[in-house]
Amino acid sequence: MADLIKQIEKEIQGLKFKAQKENVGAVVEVGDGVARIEGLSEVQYSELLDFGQGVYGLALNLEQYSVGAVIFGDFTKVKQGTEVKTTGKILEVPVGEALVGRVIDALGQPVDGKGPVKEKTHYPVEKIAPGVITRQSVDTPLQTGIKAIDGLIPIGRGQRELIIGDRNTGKTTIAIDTIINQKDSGVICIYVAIGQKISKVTQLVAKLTEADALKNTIIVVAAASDSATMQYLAPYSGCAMGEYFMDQGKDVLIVYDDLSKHAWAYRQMSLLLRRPSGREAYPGDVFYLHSRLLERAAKLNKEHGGGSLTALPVIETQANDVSAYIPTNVISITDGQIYLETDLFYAGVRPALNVGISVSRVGGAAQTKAMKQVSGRLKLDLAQFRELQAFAQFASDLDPETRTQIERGRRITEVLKQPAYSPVPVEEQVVALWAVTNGYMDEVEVDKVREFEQKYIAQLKLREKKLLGEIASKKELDEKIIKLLEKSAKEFAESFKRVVKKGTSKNNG
Amino acid sequence: MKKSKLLRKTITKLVEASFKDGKTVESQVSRSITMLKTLPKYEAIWALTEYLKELKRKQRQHTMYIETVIPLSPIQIKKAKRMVEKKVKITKVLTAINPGILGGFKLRVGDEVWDESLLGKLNQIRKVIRN
Repeated sequence: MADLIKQIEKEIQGLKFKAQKENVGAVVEVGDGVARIEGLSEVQYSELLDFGQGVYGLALNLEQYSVGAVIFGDFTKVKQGTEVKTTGKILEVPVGEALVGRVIDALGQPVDGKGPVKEKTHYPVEKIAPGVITRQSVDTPLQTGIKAIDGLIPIGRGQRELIIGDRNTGKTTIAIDTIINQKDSGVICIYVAIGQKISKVTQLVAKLTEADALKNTIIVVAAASDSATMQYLAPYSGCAMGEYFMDQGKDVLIVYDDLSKHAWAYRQMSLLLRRPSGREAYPGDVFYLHSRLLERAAKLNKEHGGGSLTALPVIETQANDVSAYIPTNVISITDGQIYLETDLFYAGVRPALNVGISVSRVGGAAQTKAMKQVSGRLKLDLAQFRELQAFAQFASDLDPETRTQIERGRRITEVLKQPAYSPVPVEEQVVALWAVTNGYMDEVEVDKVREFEQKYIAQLKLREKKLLGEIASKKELDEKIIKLLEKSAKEFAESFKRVVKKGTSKNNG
Repeated sequence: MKKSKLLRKTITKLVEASFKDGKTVESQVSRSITMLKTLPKYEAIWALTEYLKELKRKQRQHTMYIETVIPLSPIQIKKAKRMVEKKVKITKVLTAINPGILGGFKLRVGDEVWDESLLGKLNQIRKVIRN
């Protein structure tokens, strides 16, 4: 305590008082988090404004005699005539290790009741995305732990992959699964909740704590009850926090859940700021709103630390309409999309991924060799299955080859099903997908496929732990591994058949 | 209602013409008002409001406003005016007593504020301690 007082005394003694020159204005109009200020002749675009009483704002509309600004925090303290000062600063948020494991608001203030965040480093909320010189192409996979994604729509570190679908199709679940899967990978995760219910965020925090994944996650919350300005700001704040770790050479995963609500918040703000509205009443720069945010996701080259920022933006569609304004905008910005369908969800295919429409434009280059070896066949088999699916009901009239393909497709679909919040390690994914694409599950009943998979993996874990370890470390399936896999799969398929037969004969008897 | 750009430009020109050396020229002001009155009623009301608003803004830019704790002597005011006039022509000086600033003075011309008050200095110390 004495040290602290001495330090403060020293700082005060060293302080050189100077006449403070300020540029001021007065609020002439205020409402819904947006204020019109007269004066402030020297204000800059995006400059932080001081409204007094701890309330700050951001200058967004610079007009001839007035300034349109958005207010952060409690705008009820701002009245007509309130004096507003320029600060000469642009909006910054605290960044650093102290934020990891915390739940914070869009301004970096903690909301989890675990005490203040002691971070001295600040990053600007708005920043120009890394340029061509500093980037390199995506080459490292970001394992989501979801078989369908890692196998068919792989995501690379530094990629932007959109998760799109109607409400209640499991978009957030995919994002959370991915975060849970990073708990021991050293990837820092940032989850930005925009316009969501606080109860949903609380559930999510509980889920991450339960899975021990909160230790490497930052949760930025701008809930539905927060002002539109906070919801507008949240993804940029989250991104700034991610950029700090990327600049440190670390890998970061950021989830924007969801950008539809972000666009709504921006629309509200823009209409209140009296900006001219365009299609669906969104302002003209709604594309730039998302493009400048998502462009900040990058994989830096080795000279610049080699860090990466992977973005998983989420878009909620209305009645499966992907051709609406915001979805098409974000689809065109991102490097691929994971498309989730309500019909598949209710048909029990979970994750309800439509593998036909979902794509990953750059992730293939980042996929491990082992996964590439199995996914090539997997994609082909699934594509053929999709073509022939319409004929499935005439099964008895089909030629044996077509029937085999349909049956294989059904089994692959079963293997790709996965319960929520249970990501699978990549080596187990490879083994399961290898077994199904090589026909070792062809003789297993469709409803027993998942049981087969689970038991097969359990057996491999028990007896062939070395084999799984080798796949994980070598990241490819060489001849030796393939032979071992063939042997173990064949043995297990036979024993499984015997067990199933015994079970049915017992039931019949 | 969107007003024509031409009308806005005319108003700005009229305001500029109503000032000479930082002072309002009354004859020009009344002439401008008479001119604006000839416009159709809905335009005239808006134009007159805008004209008066801009006139006030312009006047503010040439008005010096000093806040102090104790009343200033005419010499002190003159000195302050002379200092400010290096940058902008001052045509009107307003003074106010504000015990809230504790000591020193606070000077305002247009949007610019020079804070030489004790309260301002205390705030600087507070900032240092907080950081």
